[in-house]
Amino acid sequence: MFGAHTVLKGFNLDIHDKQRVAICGPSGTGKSTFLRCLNLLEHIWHGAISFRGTRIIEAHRGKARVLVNENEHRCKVGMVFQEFNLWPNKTIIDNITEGPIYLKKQDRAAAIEKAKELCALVNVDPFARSANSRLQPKYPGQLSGGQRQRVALARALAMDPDVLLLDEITSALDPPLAAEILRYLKKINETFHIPLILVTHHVEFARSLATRLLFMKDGRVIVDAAADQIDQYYDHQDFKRYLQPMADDGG
Amino acid sequence: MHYDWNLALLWEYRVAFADGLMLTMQLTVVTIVFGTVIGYVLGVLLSITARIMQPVKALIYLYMAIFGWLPLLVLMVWMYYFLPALLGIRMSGVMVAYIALSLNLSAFIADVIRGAIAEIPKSYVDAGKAIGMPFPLILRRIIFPEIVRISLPAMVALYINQFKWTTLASVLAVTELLHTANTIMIQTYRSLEAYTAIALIYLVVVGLGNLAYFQLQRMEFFKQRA
Repeated sequence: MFGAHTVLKGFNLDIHDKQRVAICGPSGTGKSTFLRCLNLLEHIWHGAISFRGTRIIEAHRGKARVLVNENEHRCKVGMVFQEFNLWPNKTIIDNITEGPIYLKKQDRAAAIEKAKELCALVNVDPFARSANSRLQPKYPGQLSGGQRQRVALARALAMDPDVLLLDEITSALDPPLAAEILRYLKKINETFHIPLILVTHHVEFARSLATRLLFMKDGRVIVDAAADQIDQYYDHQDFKRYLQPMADDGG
Repeated sequence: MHYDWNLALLWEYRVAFADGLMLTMQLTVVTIVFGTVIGYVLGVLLSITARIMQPVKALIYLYMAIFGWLPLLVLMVWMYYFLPALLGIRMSGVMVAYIALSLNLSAFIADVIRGAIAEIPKSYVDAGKAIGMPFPLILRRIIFPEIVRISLPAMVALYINQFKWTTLASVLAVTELLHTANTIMIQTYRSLEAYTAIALIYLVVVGLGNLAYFQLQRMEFFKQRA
């Protein structure tokens, strides 16, 4: 619940390892709230959430009880936001190494080395060459939207998460940049075998990435199907109504 | 109009000027340290949105009204002459100057810090939380550097003003620079030399302060990035 407003209702969902789950649906339907609940950034009002077989939170009519250390749990649950949420006054490398150095107590040199490897993985150069040919660290403001989102992915990966939560990560990007992110997400999932849970408005984007696709409306899951079988549900009344405006736009 | 400058007088009173400058700097630095620490604490407390903090915040706003709205000279005179009569607390002029200058500065710094915290986007904190940072670490690694960066111009202006406000302590017979010039003027009747000398000293110190500020602004840490 958000104040007096119920966002998620009767929501039961099991997500398995290595899956790429996409959650689609109209705005305000509770998709992002679901992700924030998984990361314990929000607490549920009623029910329970388990993660890797361990119950992390249970709640009964507004009385939530967190059963794990919230911060330790968040270390294991990587989250990437729509607006990237990079720290603009820290260099790209500092953005990525902040968690490993100060939370995981990694050696600074090792954390920087790993950050450089992750930058290479997502194809972002964290340094620029100055006029006198010296390497200068880059800041988020020097990157394009797509590059910033890839740095945000690298920052989440630097914590070696057990799962990646991706909250509308392509909404602020043009279609070519969104497609680029899609490629990197597939690469990450296949390289690190990390399950992905992706919230998006774009059904086609979800279809091309996900192995499982959920469609939510008014806090409930209306459609839950393998991504390659989603065509069978196009006749579903709510799903059809949601897709219609996109079809009218030539989408 | 012709005036015979007696510049030898300045050399003759060099020790008095140096002592006056020393006390002025002491007053400035000590009250900046205390004013900043108190102001930071109050500013952070003002930024806590929990309802339970409302009474505490009301008290802080009252504190800020008393010590920020009152003219510093009135505050000093009041503390020096009326506190002994009302509460039986007797303090030396220099002690009153230290306390009044610190409290006055803290009231303004509290407001600057509150404003700086309000300017920090919530997304910065969310990003820290999302990777598992505990709040004290978010405060130290994310919020505090942002406060320092955002508040720098306002803080520098307050600190430079603090140096100038120390002149008010002269009314409590604190032998800072202005009081030193007053004394020299009374002893020698050479007011123009005495006041010109301290005016130059103020200009040089404030100039150096501004120079330091420009250098700070050029540091990577203080560059504001979008």
